[in-house]
Amino acid sequence: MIEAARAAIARVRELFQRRRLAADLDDELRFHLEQEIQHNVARGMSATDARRAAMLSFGGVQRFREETHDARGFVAAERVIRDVRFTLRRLRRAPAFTAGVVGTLGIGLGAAAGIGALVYGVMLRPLPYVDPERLIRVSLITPGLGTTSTDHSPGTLKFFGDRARSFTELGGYYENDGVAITDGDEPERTTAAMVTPSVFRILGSVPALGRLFRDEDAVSDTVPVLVSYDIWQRRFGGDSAVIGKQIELNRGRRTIIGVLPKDFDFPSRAVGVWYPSGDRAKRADLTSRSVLGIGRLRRGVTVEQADAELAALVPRLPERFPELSPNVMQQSGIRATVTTLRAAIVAPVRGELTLLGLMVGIVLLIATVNVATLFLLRAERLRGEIAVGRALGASGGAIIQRFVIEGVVAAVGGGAVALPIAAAAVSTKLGFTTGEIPRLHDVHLGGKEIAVVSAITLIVGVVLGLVTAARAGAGGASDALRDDRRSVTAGRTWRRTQEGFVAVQIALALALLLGATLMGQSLLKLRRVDIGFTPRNRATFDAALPFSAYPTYQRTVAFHFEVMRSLAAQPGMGNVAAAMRLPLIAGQSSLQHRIQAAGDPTRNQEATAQANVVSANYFAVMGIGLRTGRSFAPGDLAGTPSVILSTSLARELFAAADPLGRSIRLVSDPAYPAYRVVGVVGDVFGERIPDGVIRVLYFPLLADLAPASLIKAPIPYNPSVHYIVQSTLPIGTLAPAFRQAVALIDHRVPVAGVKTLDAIVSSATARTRLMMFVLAVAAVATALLGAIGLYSVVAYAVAGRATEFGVRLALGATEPEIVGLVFRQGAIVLVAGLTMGTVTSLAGSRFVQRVLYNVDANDPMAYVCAVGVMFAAAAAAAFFPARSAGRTDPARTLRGS
Amino acid sequence: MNSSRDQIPPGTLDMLVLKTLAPRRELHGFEIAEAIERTSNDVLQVEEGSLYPALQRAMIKGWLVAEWGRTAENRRARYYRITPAGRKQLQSEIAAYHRVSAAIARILSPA
Repeated sequence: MIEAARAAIARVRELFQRRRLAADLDDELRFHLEQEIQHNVARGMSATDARRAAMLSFGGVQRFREETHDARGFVAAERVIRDVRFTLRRLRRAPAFTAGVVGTLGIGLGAAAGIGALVYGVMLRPLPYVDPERLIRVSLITPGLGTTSTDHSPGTLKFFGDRARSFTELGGYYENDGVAITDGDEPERTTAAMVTPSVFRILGSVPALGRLFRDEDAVSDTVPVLVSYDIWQRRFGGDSAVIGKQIELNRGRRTIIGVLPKDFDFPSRAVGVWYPSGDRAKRADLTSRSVLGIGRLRRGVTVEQADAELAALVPRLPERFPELSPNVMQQSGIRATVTTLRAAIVAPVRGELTLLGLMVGIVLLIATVNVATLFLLRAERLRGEIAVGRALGASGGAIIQRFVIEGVVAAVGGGAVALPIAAAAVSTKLGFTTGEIPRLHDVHLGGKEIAVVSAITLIVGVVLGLVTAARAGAGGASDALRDDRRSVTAGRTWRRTQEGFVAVQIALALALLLGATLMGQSLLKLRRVDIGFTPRNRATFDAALPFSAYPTYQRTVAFHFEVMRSLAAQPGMGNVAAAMRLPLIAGQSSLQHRIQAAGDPTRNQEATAQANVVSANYFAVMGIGLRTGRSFAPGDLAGTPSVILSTSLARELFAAADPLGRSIRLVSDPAYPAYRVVGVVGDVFGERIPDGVIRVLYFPLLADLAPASLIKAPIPYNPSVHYIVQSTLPIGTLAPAFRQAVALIDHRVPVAGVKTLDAIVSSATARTRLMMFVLAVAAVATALLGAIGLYSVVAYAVAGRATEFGVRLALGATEPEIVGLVFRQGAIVLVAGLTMGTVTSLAGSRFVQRVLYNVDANDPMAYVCAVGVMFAAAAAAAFFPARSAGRTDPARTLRGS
Repeated sequence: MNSSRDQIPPGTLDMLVLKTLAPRRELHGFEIAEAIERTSNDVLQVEEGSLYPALQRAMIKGWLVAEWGRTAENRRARYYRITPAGRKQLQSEIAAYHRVSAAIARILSPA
């Protein structure tokens, strides 16, 4: 122990006292030599002979010194420290090189780390549940029923849960974002998740407080609920006595039995309360499915096996649900599928994230290639120096070590620049918001991410060093010494390599430029799209009414009109309208109604459309154009109720014929009466512009509903309504005004979703704008790097051929001739790069197509633009060295040789 | 230089150095080399190139300590002294050496 400590101290001391220790050793060796000489003299040699003999027996003093030093075991560490110091000094002396390397690597690594962390956090990070790779999503698809839904009905999910052996169990859930917490002073809207008790067992969750659901909770009369950590903290002050307390949800009293942990986010982060849901369903209900199915694979069962088992079970569905006749089974095209839960969650943004990932790879690759080029260029310059070193006996290992250290030092510098860039990218989440991208809160720059970036940094550094060492040390020492760096031929293979690098860079830059151009075109198209309404100076909010307090259509309608009156009375408010749904808002029901044009046997056209229920002034307030006929008016619900069609629906049902006065029926609900078309209005979009305009059937929301129609309202309705207010007030002033107006009517109805219509429109194009921005930045950076690469290739070639140019000029070549000569060399690389880039882009166009809007990924104009820009940039890069070649002073170069 | 003299078998120099210093002697490098050569009747030759690295190694391992002192001619020289750890090391090296050389002897002697 003590000895070991002493040895350690000795080593540390030596590190600090190296110089003195070396002097000591010299002294000691000199003393030994003197003794040897004396000894020889004593044996009768002459002084000179004695000295020579002693020297001979001593050998080269230098070698001894090194070996003695090696014995200290510190040489390796010392050499590293020395090399690092050397490297720093060398890098300081070459500020342009250093800035180029550190900046390029910093941007490359920073972008890679930032976007990589985003892609990893969203797409790849294991879900935060027990044994997450065994969690799966079970989906049911029925393409024959005209729906893209992948949901189950409670019945079908229970059927598979009972029969399938691949899972420990299956569970189902759905969300309802219209739940109001109504106790306390301030009502609050939250999202409730209806989950089967099995869901928590499947996830392997544990509560922060109390307990989670048991199977009997689903049939309990007390209706136990779980609350989120956030609600527990905010509304119950984090009091642990909350278990067993009551919470008022949608005017009903529920008992809290547990609190979920802080970061629990299943099914989504918005969820504030969880209700237990049972599965007593007796019917398959294929047409109204809203339950998302999850499950846990039994140990050793693969997704494919589970998928196959469900596929085999589908034909047996009629055993439990006799209503599924062979005809229905066949028409619906019913299929059941199994995917990993992670893939299912990420599916909506896979296109964008894959593209981002690809792009990051390209940028990092280019940055590395570019830095490698810079390093190689330097290595070339250092060849002579290295050759001298080798001739003087420097070992190959020492040379490799020197360059590897140089590479690593530069890479670490780049890494230091990269970290803040990555941190900025991660903290802004690249401008994505939680609503657009799932699992966004899982994105952070933690220890693991930093470790990965550091590892990549080191690998890049080592590779750079090895490549440089290989180049600088290549060939025998004598070769390199003879190569006086005026000869062109010596570096031919090397120049080819470098030109290859630059061509690759130009190719990648072209691909990115193309991507940015296509995204820009998409954005322009999106911007030019007529969204069908006027968003300026309009704001909206919504209110969801609990069924218990507003059980009838008339009660809800009365509420809506009172709120509209109350709103209009607030200062600064213009016209107020109401509608069940708004264009461009995500997360609304996309339920389709089948509609039939009635009354004309020759034209019995059918169409599907979404239903909306709107106040008479909705079209005027929204600025949706009235194409023909009129808007709703009092009395429209008496007799044959009136409806208004969107232009696309009118065209679908009546083609060119005049729809006014015609009647239609709902095929999907024959209980409803026939309706009379009183007007046609302009088209609007659904949730997303890229999905195109939707067909809409408008029903009236009227205050004067006759008491006779109280029981059976002739229109489909939803107790949740969006109010639209024309106002020039800022949104910050509007929100409290909305709350006040609603509180005057019913203080237990919370206000939610306060937004300007401008913000809604803008978020509809946000993702496209963001992708374009990121691509454009990457493209510009890459094009710049490619141009710099081309510049260095040409500049290097020019430097190597200075003598030749001097001779040519001396022999009468003109400046333009020389410029042209050099230019051609760059042009070959450029054309090769552009060709490669075009081929790559054509091959990769399907990745891009997914995120484009109304633009063909192979659009020739985009190719022309991108190639043109790249060509111009590269030509400029090649021009400067070419011009300097043309200005070679013949006298000077000739004198030089 | 006497070419008939033999190199010290690899790995045994440490042992010889320690053994030379074992009887509580303080010697400088040249004396150590001389002592080994003399004690071996000039059969073994100590290369300076091996001796000084060996001395440095032994110091780092804590087997030896060194101090600068003066020779009889008042010349500055570094004197080496064995430590208790050095003695322990010597014991184990001697034991190992005996085991190995006995084994080698058994192989070489005709059975």
